[in-house]
Amino acid sequence: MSLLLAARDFSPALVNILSSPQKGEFGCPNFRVICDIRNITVHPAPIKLMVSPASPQEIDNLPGVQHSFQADRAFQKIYESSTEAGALFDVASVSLKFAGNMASQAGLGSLDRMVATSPSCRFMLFSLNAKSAAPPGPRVFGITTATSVQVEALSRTINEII
Amino acid sequence: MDSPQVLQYVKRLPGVQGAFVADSSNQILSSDVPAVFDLEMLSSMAMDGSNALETLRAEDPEFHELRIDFDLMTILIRDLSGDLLFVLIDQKDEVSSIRIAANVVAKRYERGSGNSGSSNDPSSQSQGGLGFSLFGDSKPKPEKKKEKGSGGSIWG
Repeated sequence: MSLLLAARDFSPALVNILSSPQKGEFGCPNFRVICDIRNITVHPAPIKLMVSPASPQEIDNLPGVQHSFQADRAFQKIYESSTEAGALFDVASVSLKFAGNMASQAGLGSLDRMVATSPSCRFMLFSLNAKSAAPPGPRVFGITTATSVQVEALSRTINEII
Repeated sequence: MDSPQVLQYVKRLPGVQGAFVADSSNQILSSDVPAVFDLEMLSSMAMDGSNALETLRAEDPEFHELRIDFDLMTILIRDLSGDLLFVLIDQKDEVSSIRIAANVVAKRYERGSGNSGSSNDPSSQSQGGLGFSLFGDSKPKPEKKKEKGSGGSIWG
């Protein structure tokens, strides 16, 4: 990408950097410009996050919560608390498709949430919107908890947090 | 306890609109559901529900129950010693008591000969055994292997 294009897009800040004799770095949501007087490069940002995770640390610290991930409405992952959470995200995306098939074929309406239970844990998958609705829009939460945690209570708590 | 007895037990509970039991090959063993759910639809639901649960079991093989809340209905899927019990619930506040009941019948089903019908042998199937099936003496159709589409938006 040419310097001219970069300068046109980020002109006010970039001109300030270029006019400075020292190295500088300028970031914006879509691009990061690393500027050296001898070497100017423009890198596309690695991930374009339209929706940021909602209070992930607070959610991970809730009683009974073991792992969590968050995704946007299109089920693109935007947060995972651990590798276990990442693995759950992968299987959850496939499981959701089967549940979606069931909904469409049997006319059951939209899918609100899923809860899988084992003797040792519970995995919940649900969508919540912040009180100030879109943007940035709803997020999908996948959370493993102790079996004592109820999905209704947890979703209420998270709704208050976000 | 066999699959018709399971349905008899579950169907008495408040909030239960219907229930059916499918074996591991998605054949319907017994059913007691509203007429709008025909056998082909039940087989399709059994296949999708089974796949949804099996997929999650790839991460935790001990998942034995899957509750899916849809806009119009909640479906509770409970493992019955390899077979699957599907409970159609139209009152979400009754789900907790229905889950407890499902745990009870799962234990009784395991102790009894209920899962003897989980083989592919049609003669071992208990469909309509206590008159709870809507399908009378009709044989269940073989599972249709459909090529699933994207199914539209998952979250509606």
